[in-house]
Amino acid sequence: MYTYNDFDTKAVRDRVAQFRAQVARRIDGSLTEDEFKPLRLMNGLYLQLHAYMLRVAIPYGTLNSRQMRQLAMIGDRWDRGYGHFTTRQNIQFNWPKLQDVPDMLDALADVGMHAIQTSGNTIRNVTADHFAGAAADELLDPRPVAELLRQWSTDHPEFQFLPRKFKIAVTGAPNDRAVTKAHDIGLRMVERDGVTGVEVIIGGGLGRTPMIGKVVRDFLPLEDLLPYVEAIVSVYNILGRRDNKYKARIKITVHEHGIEEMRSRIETRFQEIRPDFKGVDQELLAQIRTHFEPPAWLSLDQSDFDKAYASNPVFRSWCDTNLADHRNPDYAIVTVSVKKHGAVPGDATGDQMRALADIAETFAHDELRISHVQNVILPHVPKAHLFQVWQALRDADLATANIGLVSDIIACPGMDYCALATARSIPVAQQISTRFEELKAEHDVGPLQIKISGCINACGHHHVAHIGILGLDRAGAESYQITLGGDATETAAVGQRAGPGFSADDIVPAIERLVLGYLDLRDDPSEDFLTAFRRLGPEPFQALLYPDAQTAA
Amino acid sequence: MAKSEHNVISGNHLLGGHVVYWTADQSWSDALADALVLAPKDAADQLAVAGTTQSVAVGAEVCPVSLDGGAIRPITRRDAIKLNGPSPQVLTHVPSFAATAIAAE
Ligand code: HEM
Ligand code: SF4
Repeated sequence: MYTYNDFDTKAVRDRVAQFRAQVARRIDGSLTEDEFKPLRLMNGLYLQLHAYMLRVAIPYGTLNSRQMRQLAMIGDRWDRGYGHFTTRQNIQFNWPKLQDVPDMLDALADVGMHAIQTSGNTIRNVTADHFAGAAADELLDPRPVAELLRQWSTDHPEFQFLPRKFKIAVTGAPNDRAVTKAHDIGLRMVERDGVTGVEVIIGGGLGRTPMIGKVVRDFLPLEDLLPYVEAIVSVYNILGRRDNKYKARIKITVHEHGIEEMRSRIETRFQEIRPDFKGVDQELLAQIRTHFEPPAWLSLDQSDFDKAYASNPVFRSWCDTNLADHRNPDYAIVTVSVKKHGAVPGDATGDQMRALADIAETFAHDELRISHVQNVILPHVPKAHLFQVWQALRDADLATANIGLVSDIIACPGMDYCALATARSIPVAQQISTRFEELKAEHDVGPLQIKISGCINACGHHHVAHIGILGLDRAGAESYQITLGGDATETAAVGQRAGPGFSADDIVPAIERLVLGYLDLRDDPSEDFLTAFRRLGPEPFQALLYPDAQTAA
Repeated sequence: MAKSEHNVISGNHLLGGHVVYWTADQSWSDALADALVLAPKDAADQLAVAGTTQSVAVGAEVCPVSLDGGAIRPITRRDAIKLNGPSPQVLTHVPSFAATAIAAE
């Protein structure tokens, strides 16, 4: 995996030293809060409802065991013994004290991590397919490109004061697991006549005006990637609105100017700057690629796995739900559910993080990933080790077999932590997953994505959920609005509002009616919720949600 | 501005980040019981004064409260969560957290 060169290491250390001095000056009174706030945000430090929060970037979601152990240590020593994995492949610590944050940042720097550009109107942590480098369906590992973009965008002088935050996602596979169509720029590797290039998508985004991104270039040669992305950001930097924060994202620029005008401006800018890229970026990319070489694959006897799979139904159920196809048929990709029924989606204790680190180190080529679905991935597990991995996960309370099912819910922090929230999200997720565990219904229901946001900012991706839940405030009471038919994949769609909101007491029963009712609506068990919704349209689902309204109408 | 009959001012401690309340002696306390209760007409003035003490606390804001037999209680869920911390079920994995029921329930 990518390791910092001397320049990166020094830059990160310098930033910590600089922030340490700023914190000291804030505490001794030489910096006011107004002066300090932008400085702390530049270093990933937010103020939430009842504490500070430190957001740490996990570039393209990739970690090794040493980094994971350090995150556990940081959580234990300076926080309350846990961390929260987010939809942006970040980890957040919810209880740091201001005076400890420089030490936390130094501890991160010890393992090549930082919190730079996790906030502000900059190019944020570049996210990538969490199965990158491992997936059977992948054309090309997207992480070298993500790393190139990270290096190019970090502290890029032209792009520190964009009209608004800017998010880039990259995938190397046709099955889009990186939600590329809901990002400011989405990059998808595609193949044409045996050559791999990039499909460039712009103007996707969630928040108060959800938009699905549009293709601005259907095939871009890989060597043009950096100048082309720079052209996009540069056109946006000029055209993007600075008069209204809510209209400042590139999705609005694309909406107001149209994709044709955007394309022609981007192409013009691209032609202007292309000659300045004399191949240094390609040398850098080639050099970065050497850090992403696949591990030396093992070829091991799998008979123990086959035996355990045949004889142990609990293990089998976990395999059937939590494994994905690896590019090497002797391997599997393991998704570790950080969503035990009733638990907080994405919260992992220090002990759990250490257990994951140990498992990765012992059995899985020392690699871990964080997914935007708030789970942890072991990308390279030899099938011969799967039974031992599962046993170790079970000992750490991490062997829940629910990936892709009702209880694999995305939930933003919501009002339990977030100062912007209009309603709680986590308790709703906890109640839904507890309820479906009681009903023992989720394996029968099959693939279903529920995503919850605690306000219109949509950090919980509710717009692109099969069932989205948005928590609002109606005259002082929580009111939950349901959207149906959203899709986060290559067939991305924004969900449609189902109808009036539900109170905190009514939302879980409403979801139960909807999901159990779908079992009667589907053609047969192979027709998943989204497919059934697309075939039938919203009405039968609305009838499930609002049984009384039907008679009135 | 303040719509409620009774209000207090909450902020976050500069160092710890924890919630503190503005008191009658123009300082900050960890206890809601110590908070200065304000009529709507006084809230803005006191908020401005509280805002001058940013070496102690930041993020000062007005919170509506009710007076229940003399005890001050937050009215909104947001302020209840500020006072008591996240919903108890959200902190089941945090042994050190003394989760208390949310006062506004
Ligand atoms: C202190 C906590 C947080 C604050 C203040 C915050 C703030 C915001 C705001 C203001 C937006 C709307 C941006 C826009 O429409 O222009 C937003 C969007 C978003 N945030 Fe957060 N957020 C927080 C926590 C999180 C967390 C925990 C996650 C991951 C779980 C997250 C992921 C996202 C995502 C995915 C979006 C929507 C994508 C987009 O940018 O269009 N945020 N956030
Ligand atoms: S969606 Fe709203 S409530 Fe949830 S984390 Fe984002 S800003 Fe906070």
